[in-house]
Amino acid sequence: MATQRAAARTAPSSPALPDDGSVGTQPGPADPQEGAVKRELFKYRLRKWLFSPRPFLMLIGFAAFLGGWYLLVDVLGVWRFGTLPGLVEVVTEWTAREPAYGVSLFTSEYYTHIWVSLRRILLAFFAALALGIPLGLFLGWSTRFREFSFPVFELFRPIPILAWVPLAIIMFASDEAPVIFLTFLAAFFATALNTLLGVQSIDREYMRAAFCLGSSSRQVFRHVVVPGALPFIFTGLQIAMGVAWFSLVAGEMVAGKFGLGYLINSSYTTTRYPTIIIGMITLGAIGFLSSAIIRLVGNRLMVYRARAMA
Amino acid sequence: MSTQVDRGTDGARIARVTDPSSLELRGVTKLFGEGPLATPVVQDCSFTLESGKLTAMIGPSGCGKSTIAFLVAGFERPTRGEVLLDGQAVSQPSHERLLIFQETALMPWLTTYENVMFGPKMRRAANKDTKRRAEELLERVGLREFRDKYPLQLSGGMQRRAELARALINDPKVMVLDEPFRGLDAMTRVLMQEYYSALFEEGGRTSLFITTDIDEAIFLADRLLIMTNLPARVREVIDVDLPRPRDKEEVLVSERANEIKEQAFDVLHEEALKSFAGGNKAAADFVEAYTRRQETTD
Ligand SMILES: Nc1ncnc2c1ncn2[C@@H]1O[C@H](COP(=O)(O)OP(=O)(O)OP(=O)(O)O)[C@@H](O)[C@H]1O
Ligand SMILES: [Mg+2]
Repeated sequence: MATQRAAARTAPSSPALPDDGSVGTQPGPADPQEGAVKRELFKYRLRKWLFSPRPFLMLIGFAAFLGGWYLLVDVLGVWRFGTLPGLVEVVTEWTAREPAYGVSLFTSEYYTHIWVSLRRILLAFFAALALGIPLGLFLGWSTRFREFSFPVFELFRPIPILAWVPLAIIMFASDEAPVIFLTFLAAFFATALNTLLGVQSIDREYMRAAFCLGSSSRQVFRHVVVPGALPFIFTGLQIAMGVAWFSLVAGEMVAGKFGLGYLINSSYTTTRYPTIIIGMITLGAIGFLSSAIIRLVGNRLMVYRARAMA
Repeated sequence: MSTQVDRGTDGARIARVTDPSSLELRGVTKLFGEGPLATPVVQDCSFTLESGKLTAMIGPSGCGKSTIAFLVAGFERPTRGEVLLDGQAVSQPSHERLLIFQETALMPWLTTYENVMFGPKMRRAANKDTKRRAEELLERVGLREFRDKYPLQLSGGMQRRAELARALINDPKVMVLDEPFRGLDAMTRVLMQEYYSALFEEGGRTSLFITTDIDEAIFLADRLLIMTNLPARVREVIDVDLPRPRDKEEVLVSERANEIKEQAFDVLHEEALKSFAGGNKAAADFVEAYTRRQETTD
């Protein structure tokens, strides 16, 4: 009787207690099979995706778009669609070894434009990240700093990027710097603001728990504020990447000598219409890729979120 | 039969505290609100958590219990009066007075093991010894298999157990648990009470357990503090002189437990009547339920 009761009292611990007396000494998940399991899981997911309706729906979506383009522009030429470059013309131009208007997959000029744009984006984006994230973190962390600098920040933030163009050109007497500056500025504001929101979104309980467990203010900043703001920071980086491309193209149209924005604009002024479309589609693809990379890095850094969803 | 066997291997047991501390609130008043709007949430509140004892604080929802927990932890400073740990006034948070929050406060970005090691790491005491203790504590609270999971992957009861381990590894002098089992389903709640009771009996650490559940309070505590409605003050102290180790089924049907329960109910009823007169909705519910209970038991 007494033993039964005693056993009942400790019941909650018994399911997890091993009988072999090995007391929690294993250091970690040193599982040699983990890699194999991951590979199997990847194969499973790939197979599942291939046999689900999703890839087909995706293909149907693209087919509908391209078909619509072909029909409206190439075949019918109805209404104002007649003025646009047709699907066949663009594809032929894009894949031609000797393109009629000078830019295709086989010309080095195409890649020069891509490379110049990419370099500008990367420089501006990483500068925005390096300055915007710390600024946002400090704005969120220190009330005094926020009260002193946030009003100024909020006054500058709503100024549309295009309004900065003249100043940028006056300030930087080169072809390259003004464009990078404009791109940076847009990304910077988005990053800093979202980082600030991220800090403010952290439950006060986490900070209090950290203080309770013996953290100093600095440790709370490093071990609670930074990881706690990370989800918002990555949302901010996604937005920043979007506005960065926007500002880049605007900047290149006005001030650049190379780059995809410049390509599109100069093709317009020289009536090389298919090249405009080539530039646009390239922008779409690279923009999509850059967002995907940020998402991927975010998932890597915030494993706990991905796991919780699984 | 030895209880040691039932509680797992020796390594998985909590070390007993050798000289437990005591904590005293002396005439503590805490005002909340701006300037002329400031009203007391805690008023002239005094009590002692005796060394090595588990004191349960019980009082109606919104009466200021969490505020008292924050005062003990050092997140809030008393407007008047003082909080004394072993006779020394406390002024800021410290791992000596560890608070387990009403809502789970495990860092979601850390694994269970990393959460448990958070305190030692912050105090630069993450050595072989504390690492081994972390593993032992995880073992003791039945989370060894979950050491590398993230809090969002754990059930509510597991999260609370992880939090107990995260607190215990720091050897706090006083532990404050603010309605730790609120929000758990009834079954898990009972299991957690038994779990916590066993942990307390092993360690003998001075503790304050805040709750709104009389049965829970009587089962766990050496002593009950029954609080008044807002502003909070200790209305009545009842000693729970039931033998330890306790068994839930035995304790709650014993004669003595019922006496204590009646006594506590009467005081809570009086308090509820007072705030009922002041137009408190929750108090009205309590008064009604109490009346119905009297009718059925008489
Ligand atoms: N920082 C604060 N500023 C102003 N008022 C507060 C603050 N914290 C708590 N209060 C008020 O103090 C009162 C008591 O709150 P407290 O959270 O301590 O009660 P509680 O007994 O823990 O309630 P519960 O059972 O809901 O947890 C409430 O009326 C609340 O609105
Ligand atoms: Mg509370």
